[in-house]
Amino acid sequence: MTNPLRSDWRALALGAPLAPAAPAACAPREYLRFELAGAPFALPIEAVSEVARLTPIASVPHAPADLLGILSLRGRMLRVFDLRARLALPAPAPGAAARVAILRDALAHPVGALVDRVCDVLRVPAAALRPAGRGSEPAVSGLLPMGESFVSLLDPERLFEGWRAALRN
Amino acid sequence: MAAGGESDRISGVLREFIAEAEDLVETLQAGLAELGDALAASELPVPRVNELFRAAHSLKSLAGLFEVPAARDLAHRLEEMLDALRMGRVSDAPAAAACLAEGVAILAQALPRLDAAETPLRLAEATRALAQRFDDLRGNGAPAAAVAPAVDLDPAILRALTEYEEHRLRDCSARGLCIALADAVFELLSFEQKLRALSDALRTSSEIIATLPSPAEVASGGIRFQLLIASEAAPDVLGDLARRAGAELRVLQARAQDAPRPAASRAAPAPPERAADAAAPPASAGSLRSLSDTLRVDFRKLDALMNLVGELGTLAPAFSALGARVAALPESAGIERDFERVRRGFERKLRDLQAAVLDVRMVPLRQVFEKLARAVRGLERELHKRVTLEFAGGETELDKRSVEALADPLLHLVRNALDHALEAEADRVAAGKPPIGTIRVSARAEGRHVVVSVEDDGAGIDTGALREKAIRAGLLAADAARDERELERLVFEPGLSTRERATLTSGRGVGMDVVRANLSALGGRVDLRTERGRGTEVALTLPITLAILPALYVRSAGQRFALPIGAVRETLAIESARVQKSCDQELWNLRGEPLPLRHLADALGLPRGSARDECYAVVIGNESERVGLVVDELGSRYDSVIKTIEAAQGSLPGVAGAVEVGGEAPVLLLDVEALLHARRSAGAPA
Repeated sequence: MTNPLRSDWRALALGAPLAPAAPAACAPREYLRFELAGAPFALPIEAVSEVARLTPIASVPHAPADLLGILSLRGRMLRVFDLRARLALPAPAPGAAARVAILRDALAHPVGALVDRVCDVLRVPAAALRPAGRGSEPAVSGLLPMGESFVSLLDPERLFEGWRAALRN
Repeated sequence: MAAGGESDRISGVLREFIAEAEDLVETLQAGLAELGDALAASELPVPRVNELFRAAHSLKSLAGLFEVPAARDLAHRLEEMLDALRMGRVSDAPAAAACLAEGVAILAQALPRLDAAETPLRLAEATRALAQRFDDLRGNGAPAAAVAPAVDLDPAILRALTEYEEHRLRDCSARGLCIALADAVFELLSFEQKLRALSDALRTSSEIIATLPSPAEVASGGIRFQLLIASEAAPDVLGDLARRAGAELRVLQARAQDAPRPAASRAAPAPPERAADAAAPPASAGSLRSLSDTLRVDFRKLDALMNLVGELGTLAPAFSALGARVAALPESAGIERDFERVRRGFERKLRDLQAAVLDVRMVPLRQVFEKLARAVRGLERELHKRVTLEFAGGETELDKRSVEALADPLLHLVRNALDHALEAEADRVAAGKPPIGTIRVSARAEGRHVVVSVEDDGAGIDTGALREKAIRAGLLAADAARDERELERLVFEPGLSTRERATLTSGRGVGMDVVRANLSALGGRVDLRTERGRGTEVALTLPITLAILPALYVRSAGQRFALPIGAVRETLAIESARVQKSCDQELWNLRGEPLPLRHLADALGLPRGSARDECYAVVIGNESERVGLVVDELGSRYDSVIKTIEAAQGSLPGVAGAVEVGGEAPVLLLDVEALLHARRSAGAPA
């Protein structure tokens, strides 16, 4: 069987009408686009339950490098991780545009991820997703085309795995 | 026991008792009024007397639970009298009813004055007088006829009947009613609803003499119920009712009118069992007067309220920022002071609101204890075993959510103890123990945890048998050294139970492993100690999830931290100049003893901040191992609401939880044990 995603995407690129048989591949999926250290990143929108303002964070004893600390989200105490530290990007003190993306783990427990700036919601057909390329950061699951450039798509599952491992050590 | 500051709490507990007791007293009063009416019409309304009996029994248990012996003893007398009445052992029923009404009236009057010193004495006096009159009435009563019922009943079922049930069976049989057995198997998940539906359906036309549960065939995974009923209705009508509710009906004795003339032994016209009588809800009619101010609230509403208050709290910093902007305006001219005053007022009220909402969430563990007491009464009957159930520490408060979540594990432990641990009475006597076993459920607050333990004085776990099973199951090497602690741990392995028999109450593979999983989900742990022949203690330790904990606030590394007051021995002011050194160790002379000092920042792996001439030390640890934690500032003590950190159970060493403080970073509640441990294991400060 040929790869249906591939062929549909080619049809779309050639300006052919959308094939009703494969709506999933062509239906645009939504991604939250944000910036980390000046570079564009994205997360599937369904992985982000809300975007919160950065309120004061309590530092945690003997914390792993990418755990910023504990933040109170309407009375719930969440761990907040620095995505920049996780992705080995420069991590200066967060600026005024910094936000906390609230992700939900497999058991729907909220965990915060600090981002420098939230940009917008991207609508991209699932089939437009490009592979991240060999040797890239494992949490990056692919590249989304946006105009001339590409946005690195993060895999929430792999982020959670990393955080779990960091806490277990 | 009420000393000084505790008097408020004591009267709070009493209020709780009064609130529940007065419900029962109202039921009793309303029921007795109707009983009086019925007796005047010379009939004994059996369902009504049963209802009264249950109310008196509940009152007795309640008073026992709340440790109000005077009320318990009076309720006990009422219960005895009602029992005698329904068993037909009282000749002058109207006199008995009048006596009962008098007793209830005395109790009703005493309830609002329970805290007065003379009330218990007056109650005791009244109880003695009543007891005398009851004895006289009962003395005249004819003993119930000891005639075996002429009913084709499985002897196993007959044996399971209580004396009263047997009396009802005999009575109904003699009155020529149709006696039948409705038999149903319901799934474990839904049996309560289904059983209720079946009972309600049958009650429309019959009296349910007994409901007898038994384990179904193992494969079906359900519970079998046999309902022994008596009815004036035709058997096919009953059969229809039962079938529609999922049960099969077997007629044990045909109605007198259907059968070829059985010798009806009783001439008195039998009062028909009306549906309205049998299925009547506890009398809610009656007095409108209410002593208590309690209200039942759906907990989800409290959750919603809590979230709203939390979100309101996040607005406070925005107010501050706005105030700063107003102050910066050139034309503000004094407005900023008014603004600041209003803002402070708002924040203060907001804090009060938070505290009030949180206070509502806190409930005493007694609530679970009451559920346990009720469940055990059912179990005693089911297992034909008696037990003395003792409770202690019911006033220990926990967040409602945790209290709810504790109910299942606790019930499981108590079932286990009753079913497996407590020996048969004869065996107990042979072992030199009191014939009736004791299960003691106690709770206490312990630092940042609440410990609830279930102790029994039963047989203990046969660790030898357990060891053999573990070796067979491959959980233990055959030549492993015998280690009691290790064996006690094995109890928690899934699928290991020293009793393989599947009974209705336990041993269905739902074992200690499930208890352990439940507690782990609550962030807690289970410890077990057992001694062959002496008994078993299972201790559930769970964090004070959302529990209020008095905490001492300190500042170190530019951040505030909270320490559980329970762990703090004392606090000291430290002058840097008087700190001594022994190698790397800083020491303080504490009343002639060397106190090792350790900077909290170092223990936490956080930067220490600039050196100070004056700082403070918080002394923690036990007598033999004290440490002075050096902090920059000492704050106040607050009753703090501790929250767990989402999805980080046990993964943040040294952090026991966090406290919400408006506008600031959450304050971490430190785990003192872990801090002490860090001191021992971590060589160099980070």
